[in-house]
Order: sequence, then C-alpha cells, then structure tokens
Amino acid sequence: MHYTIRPGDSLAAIALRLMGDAGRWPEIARLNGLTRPDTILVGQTLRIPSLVAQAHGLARPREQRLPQRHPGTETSLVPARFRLFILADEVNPLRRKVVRRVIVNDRMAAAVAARIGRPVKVFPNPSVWGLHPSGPPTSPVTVGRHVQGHGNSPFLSASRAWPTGARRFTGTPFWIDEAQARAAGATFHESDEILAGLRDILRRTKDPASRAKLEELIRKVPSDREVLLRGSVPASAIKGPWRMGATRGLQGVQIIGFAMTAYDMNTAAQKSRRTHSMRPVAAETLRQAGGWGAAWAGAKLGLLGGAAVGVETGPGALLTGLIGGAVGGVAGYYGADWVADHIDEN
Amino acid sequence: MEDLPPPWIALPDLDPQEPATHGLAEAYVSLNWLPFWEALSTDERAAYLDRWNASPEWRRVIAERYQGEGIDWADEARVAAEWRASHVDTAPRRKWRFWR
Repeated sequence: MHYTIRPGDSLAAIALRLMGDAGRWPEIARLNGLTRPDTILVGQTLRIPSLVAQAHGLARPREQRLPQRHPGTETSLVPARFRLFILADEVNPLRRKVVRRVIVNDRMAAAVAARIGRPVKVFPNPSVWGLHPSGPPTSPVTVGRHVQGHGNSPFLSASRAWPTGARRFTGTPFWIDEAQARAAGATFHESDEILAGLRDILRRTKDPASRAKLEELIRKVPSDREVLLRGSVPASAIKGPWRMGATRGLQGVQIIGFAMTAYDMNTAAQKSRRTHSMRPVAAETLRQAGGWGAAWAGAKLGLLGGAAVGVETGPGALLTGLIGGAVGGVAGYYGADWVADHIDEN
Repeated sequence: MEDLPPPWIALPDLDPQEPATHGLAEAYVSLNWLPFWEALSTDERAAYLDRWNASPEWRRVIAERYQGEGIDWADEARVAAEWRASHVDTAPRRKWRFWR
C-alpha cells in the first residue's frame, strides 16, 4: 500500500497509525530507501509494508519480527495468520460417532500368542480397509442372535460409550462417523432394538437354562452402550487413533486461526470507528471470507486430488487435504487482499 | 491338522456367554479358532472337546452358537426377513457437497 505524507506527519506517527506500532518506522524508512528519516516532504508518497508483507516477514529482519508493544497502540498478533488456513477434515467435534474396538496390532494379542504358543491373526486396519460384517445382508442371523455371538452375521458391534468405546474390551478404538456410514448404506440399531431382539428370542426359548442366560445378557446390553451397524462401512468413514488425534489437534489450530481472524475484525472495526467509514470492516470481511473460503475449497480439492491418485484415506488423505487447504488459503488470502485493498488498504 | 487351543485356554477370562463380538475375543474366535473348528469333522470335534476338557457350559455354547443346534433356522430366516422388510433405511443418501 502507499501513503501520501500530510502536514504534521512523521515516520513514527505513520507507523503508529498504519502499522499499529510507532517503533516500526525503520521498516518504512528501509522500504523507501530513506537515508534521512527525519526529512520527509508533504506530498511525498511512501510505500507502507502491507499486512501480507508483514505476514511473510519480508519487511522486517528476522531478529525484529516479534511485535514491540507500546501502551495504547494496537499491535497485530497475526503476522502468520494465513499460515493457519489449515483445515482439519471435519470441523464439528460434536459430530456423532460410534466406537468399535478392533485388534489390529500383534502386540495386543501377544499374551494370547504366548499362551497358545503360536502367532494370532489380527484384523486388517479398518481405517485402511473398512469394516465388513462376517455374513451377507441376507443372513438369517437377527439382531438378537448377533449379540448372542452367532457368526455369519450381517451386523457389526460397536459402542456409543464416549470417547473410546466400551473399555472392558481390549482393542484399538476406531471411530465411525455415523453420517458417512449411513451415506454409504449402513444402518444403525440401538440398544432398545437389541433388547427387543433378545426378548423376542426369549419368548421363543423354552429351555430354562437358556432363558436364564438370555435374561443375564439382556441385563448386560445397556452397560456397554452397544449399537449395531448393518452393512459395510467404508474406510473413509473410519478414523483410527492417529487420524482422530490429528483431526482434534487441527481443530485446535482452527480455533487459534478463528481467534486471530476475530482479532483482525476487531482491529478493522476500530479503524472504521476512527474513520467513520465502513470500508475497513468491509475490506477485512472480504479478506477473511476470501481466505477461509478458499482454504476450505482448497482442502476439498486437495482431498479430491489425493483420491484421484489413489490416496483416499489415512495420513495421505490428511496430507493432501492440508496441502490443498494451505495452498487455497494463501491463494484466497492474496486474492481477497488484492481486491480488499481497493476498498480500504491495510 | 495341528491342534489350536480352544477359547477357554487362549482367553481364560472369557465368559462362555460373552458373545465375542468385540476386541480380542472377536479376533481370536472369529479369525483364528472358528475356521479351525469348522474344518473339523463331527468325530474330530467330539474328540477335541474331550481332549481340552470342555466344560458343560462351553459345550452347550459351542453347539448352539457355532453349530446352530437347537435353533429353528427356518423360523429365524422368517424373523430376519420380516425384520429387514420393516427396517428399510429411509435416511437420505447425501451427495458430495462443499461442506460435510
């Protein structure tokens, strides 16, 4: 951005007004090649380091990048804001999930292997291969028979116990996104349906010993918060501990990013109040919307790009999404900043 | 065929009534032991249960759960078909969209 010197201006006053910090006047002097900073002329045009340049740290030597705070001045805390346009692959942490504990690691079965004196087969990683019931959709095994342990079942057991599933079962927790699993054709069957299925079997069971066992099972079902899924669940709907941790961590980054966004809006609002103009707020809104929107689109495109070359799940997908999000965010920020500067330069 | 220890040996804490549909019990029973069991003949199964001192409760559970004894499977198939007919998934299929 450019600034035309007015009567009464000094580099320090310009730095305070436009950059929020009077102590940053040497950056203006350096950018404009001023050898005598105390001598500036009314009407002279100066180049002012823009927020984008400040964000890059282009206008300041590395050792001076930390903002210097002065009482009563507005110091921007957002030098690296656009770098935070990193999106987790989901935003809502309250999204409904169920947890299925699966043995995917030889170490978890080590005690059994030692006891029987041979290796124990474990399941393939669900976040790579998906989850698949042991039986076909037309299997005669009902909800009740599944929870009795009958094989060839069209169901998969999971739990609504949050956050890591029914803890009495040994296994790695895998989080299944309910909306994505439903979108893939899986159906969910809750405890009340399971209990109804067991009671139906109880009604048809004559043997007193079997009836006693069924009644015991009926008492256990609610404590595990058991839920059954009918049908296969694609890998894209499943997160293992690594992906779940990364997603939740990135949600923290997003929160920081949004907080910084809010800080910039506040700064723009203050400028609007000072100048009695809506232009600073309008311009900042455009920058924010452009940056975040493009980051979001970029993340989606990154994921699609990854999927196009065979990266559909796991860390690879997260990485392609992140790269897309970062690229989109930077591109969006620059694009929106360029347009916004025509409304109100920063 | 090489003998594979039964669930009550591999998993001593496993209650016979525990359905083994989660975690370690599921992995051992469904991936390891059940394929072995299903490959045995009737005589081999009887000898196996004797050899590994199967308790009456385990014998009953194995007979019912893994051999389907004492269950009218024609009736079960009818119940399952009725259940499927009354549980048509009505949740709308979502297409790809900008936000998820």
